[in-house]
Amino acid sequence: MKNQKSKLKSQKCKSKLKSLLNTFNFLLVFLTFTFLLFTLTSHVNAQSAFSLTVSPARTEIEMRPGETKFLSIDFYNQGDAAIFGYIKKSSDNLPVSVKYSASLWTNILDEEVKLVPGEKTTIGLQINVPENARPGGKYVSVFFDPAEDKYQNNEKSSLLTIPRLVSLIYIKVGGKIVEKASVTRFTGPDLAESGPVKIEAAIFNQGDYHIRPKGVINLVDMFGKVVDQTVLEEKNIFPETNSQYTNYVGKGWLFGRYKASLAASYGEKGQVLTKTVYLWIIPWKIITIILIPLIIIAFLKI
Amino acid sequence: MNKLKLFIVVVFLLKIFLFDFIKETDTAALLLSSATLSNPRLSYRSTVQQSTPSGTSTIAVETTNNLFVNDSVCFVLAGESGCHAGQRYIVSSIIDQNHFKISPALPINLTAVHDFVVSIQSASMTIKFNTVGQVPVNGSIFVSIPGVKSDKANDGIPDTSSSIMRNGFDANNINITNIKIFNGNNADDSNWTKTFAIGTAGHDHQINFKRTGSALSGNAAISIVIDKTPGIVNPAPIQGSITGGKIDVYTINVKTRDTGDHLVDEVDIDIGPTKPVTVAATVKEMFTFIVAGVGTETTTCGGNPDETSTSTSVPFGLMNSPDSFKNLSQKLTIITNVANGYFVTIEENDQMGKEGNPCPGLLPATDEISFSNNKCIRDTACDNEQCSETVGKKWNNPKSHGLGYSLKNDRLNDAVFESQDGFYSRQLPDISAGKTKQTIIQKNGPTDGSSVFVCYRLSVPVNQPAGSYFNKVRYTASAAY
Repeated sequence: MKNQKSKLKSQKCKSKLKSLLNTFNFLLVFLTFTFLLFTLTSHVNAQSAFSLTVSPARTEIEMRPGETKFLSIDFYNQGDAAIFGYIKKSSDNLPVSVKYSASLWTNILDEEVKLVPGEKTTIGLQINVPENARPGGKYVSVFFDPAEDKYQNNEKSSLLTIPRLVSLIYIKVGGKIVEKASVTRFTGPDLAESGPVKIEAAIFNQGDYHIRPKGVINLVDMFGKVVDQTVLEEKNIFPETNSQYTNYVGKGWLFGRYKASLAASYGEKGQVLTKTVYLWIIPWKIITIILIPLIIIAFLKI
Repeated sequence: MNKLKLFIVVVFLLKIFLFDFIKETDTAALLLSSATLSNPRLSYRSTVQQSTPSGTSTIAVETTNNLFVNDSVCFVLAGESGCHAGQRYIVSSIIDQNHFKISPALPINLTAVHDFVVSIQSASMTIKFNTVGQVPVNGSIFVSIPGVKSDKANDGIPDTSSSIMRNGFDANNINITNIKIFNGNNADDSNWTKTFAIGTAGHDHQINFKRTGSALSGNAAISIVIDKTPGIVNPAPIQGSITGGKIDVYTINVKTRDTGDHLVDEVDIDIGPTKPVTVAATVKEMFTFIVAGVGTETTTCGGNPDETSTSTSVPFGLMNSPDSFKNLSQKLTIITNVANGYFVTIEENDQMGKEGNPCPGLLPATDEISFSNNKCIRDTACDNEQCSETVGKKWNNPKSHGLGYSLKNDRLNDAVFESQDGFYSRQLPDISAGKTKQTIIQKNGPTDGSSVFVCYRLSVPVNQPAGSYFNKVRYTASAAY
């Protein structure tokens, strides 16, 4: 009994400590941002600046079909004028088709926002996943949209400038999720005079959830030696979308036939994308300039 | 004649040398073929770098690359084949590239170079493919899984070597009962006689499924599963890997064979254990977006603005000098710790209409100020060459009328284009005319404060009717997707 009580006490202490630590971390980041704001905006026009911070900027959550979850997003007015607007949702600005939109699943609980300088508001969201929801990714963005009627156009000819600040929500609906991608393009020049050579790739996500391929492009010489390597840019590829990559590989003196090969992993099961293209790198202009006189001399001698 | 022959030979050689190159070779696995791991993490393995007495918690190793806090490690002593005494330790901290701490402390002495430390990542492996040709009775499916080319391919300890060709998965003492075969969703073990050969210095791990009962038809969806328990052990990164162990790609070979073990069909399937993604769970991602007005004392885009803007308005005011430019600017600032980076886009709801009237279409109808029945200030076409919402061109001639914008970095270099040698302008994307908003600022990583001036320029012709012209410009700031 005594042991149980002391265990419970210890757990409570640990939980309080963790909460304190999280608060400390948050305050540290918030104060850093505030400090940066003051130093960066100190020399701008005396007119008040629009300055809004959103946190978190991205949310990734896992849910089951039929489940409901509540999220919160904070907006801080760090400018010196009041901000008026509305919280709205949309998937239109995301690179996903309607099939992967979570807009209909998302309810915004607090739509109107009025923030005086220095004020923070917490916006509540309710995400309802239907019972028959398909496993995989669903996506929605929640954003602050200023109330345009509050920003009157009193000038003669003018542009009314409207800032919009977005927070992204990625939902993973549990179940049998298909992870599948393919390299739809991997090309380089057939013949290059020298490095670096431009290698273009495209990866298509055929699966149900966004992937973030991690990989490299190697340039391998005729003897199998890797002469250069470049890292593939890491970025999310949403379901049923294509992503383009442009890399430059090959340094120093290069001569002969080379193999450019892509190797990238994606998903949570160690799946791999590989593709190869062969190319020649020959300083043909220099060779031609040297060779032609030699050929002429050889002919004359013969 | 000799000269002619020599000439032909030389030309022929030049042709081969310069022009006969091999085009793209496709080595991708078949679409229906796949190999997956329930745990795709690379294992960890490193030699002990200095002799360490018992009672110590700090271990000196060749590298801590691919080792993380809370990983479970064990020590393999010289001459042994498994974890010493079956004892595991938890990594309590990574001190630097060559040192880490464990809990509990060492109960044994470690010898430099001869002893090594490992963190074992085991997994269930699933290999899937569709047959093409039939597999007859007494024919077979033959699977080769890369294993280290030594006698250590089955001791449950992660393997490493100098190259992918010489390394592979450790069999971890699995036996044939841990390997199952499915046809579609149905267990199919009863139709096969299975044998498993551990990899050696001469060959990879080999699983042979000999067909019994009836022949297996073509287009059968076959899955071969190695159970999670004990599971196959993932390799450690290749020694001296350029990628630092980010990804090592291994190739599994699957063959279908006839009764004489002759090849029917074959596929190579790549599988890639990787370094895990580490997530900073305690730091929230924040994004700050600032729009500020710019006064006439600030230099932007090669000159000073003619009027002062605010955070919500770019007030060109009274345009009483036709055929002359009026320039105003705003300053956008982004601060974010989002690891992926961010972007800011720009768009206009419509071109500048008199009293806010719509300006249907992309181009004026009859003259440069008429859009249908309404009078507008069009988006500029720039100087001699046509600019657009995606292509910027010089705009230095005030008789090329309209509205345009340019960019100039103020702090850091995140603007997607900049004005240099004069005003380099793009059109604002007109959403009502079907244009797409355009990215004006972006970065593939966090920023402690990127600032960009958005410089607007306006010029009107002498016959522009008097009145107020306005439209709305929207900036959308977001973390990178």
